[in-house]
Amino acid sequence: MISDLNVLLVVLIVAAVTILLRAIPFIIVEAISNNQYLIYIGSKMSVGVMVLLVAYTFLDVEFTKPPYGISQVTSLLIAVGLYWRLNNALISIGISLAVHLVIINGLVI
Amino acid sequence: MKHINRNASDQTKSKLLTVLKLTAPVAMAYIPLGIAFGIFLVASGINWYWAPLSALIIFAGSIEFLAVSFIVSGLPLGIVAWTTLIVNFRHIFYGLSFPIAQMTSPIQKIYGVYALTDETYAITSAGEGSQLDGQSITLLQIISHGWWISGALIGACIGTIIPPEIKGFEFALTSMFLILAVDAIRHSQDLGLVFYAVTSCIVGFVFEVYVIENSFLVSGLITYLLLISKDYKTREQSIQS
Repeated sequence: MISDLNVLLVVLIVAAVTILLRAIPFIIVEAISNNQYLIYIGSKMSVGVMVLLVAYTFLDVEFTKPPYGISQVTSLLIAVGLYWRLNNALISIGISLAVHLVIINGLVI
Repeated sequence: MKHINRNASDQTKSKLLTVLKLTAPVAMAYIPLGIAFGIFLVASGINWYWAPLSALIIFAGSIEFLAVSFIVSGLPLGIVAWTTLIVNFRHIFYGLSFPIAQMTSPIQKIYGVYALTDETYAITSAGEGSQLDGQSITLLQIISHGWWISGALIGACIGTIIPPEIKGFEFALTSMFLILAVDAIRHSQDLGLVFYAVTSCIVGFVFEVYVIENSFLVSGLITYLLLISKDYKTREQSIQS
């Protein structure tokens, strides 16, 4: 079991930074709403952040050892395919997670 | 006097009803996602009560999933702060259009900013939601917060009865970020950004493997920031010339 203090510290830091970001515009409205660079960065940021986060979750997957991350890659493709067709986030997350759980725990293969 | 009281309570009721209707789609997203979060947290070896507690304290979606993986991998706190800053950077723009002037008491204002999520922002900035008064917005935020905490609590309970031998719940994180990535790419209509993102992943991976452990997100995000900043500079120069 992970120690409560560890969890508390991470939770508090994440909360503090998030609240700070939410509060900043109320303190310096002018500086942000007129700053072209910040607005530009803000509009381009999310593609990079999200792609990096997807890749981040793959860092622990061992592609060089059996089962070579087959389950993760298969489920990832299923998630993209479903979301592209149905546009429903919950269906896509639910089914791809279910497929991954079944394969990784050896319930089928 | 009685008559006025009844009128006031009727008004409150109809406000509550309007707000409840507006939060219905939020509930449909928050509850299953909260459940996934609770299960993921417990499966990662964290005490179950942290699911509702973290939902209460942080109240932001994807970063909470990420916080769990930070905890598990023992990421240094400085990197936790920096990564949160970049991942949640978009929040800096939400306040610009949030109708804080409509809120009367200081507590209401503070909570309003504290609970200014993607969903609150989306609802209050367009459509029917943009007509809400300060009181209704606070109500909207409290109810949404409640959905999120309940989802996390239910998930935590389910998580404690799932046998620990069953692995793989962290994949919920992968598919959630994947969907957000698909949305972001569709919205931007700019394949150049995808190229930059993939480049940043490669740089991040090289840093992680060959330079310093746990540096993937930091080095990747800096690379991406540099790449889009370079575009901004060339764009500005072309405007000036």
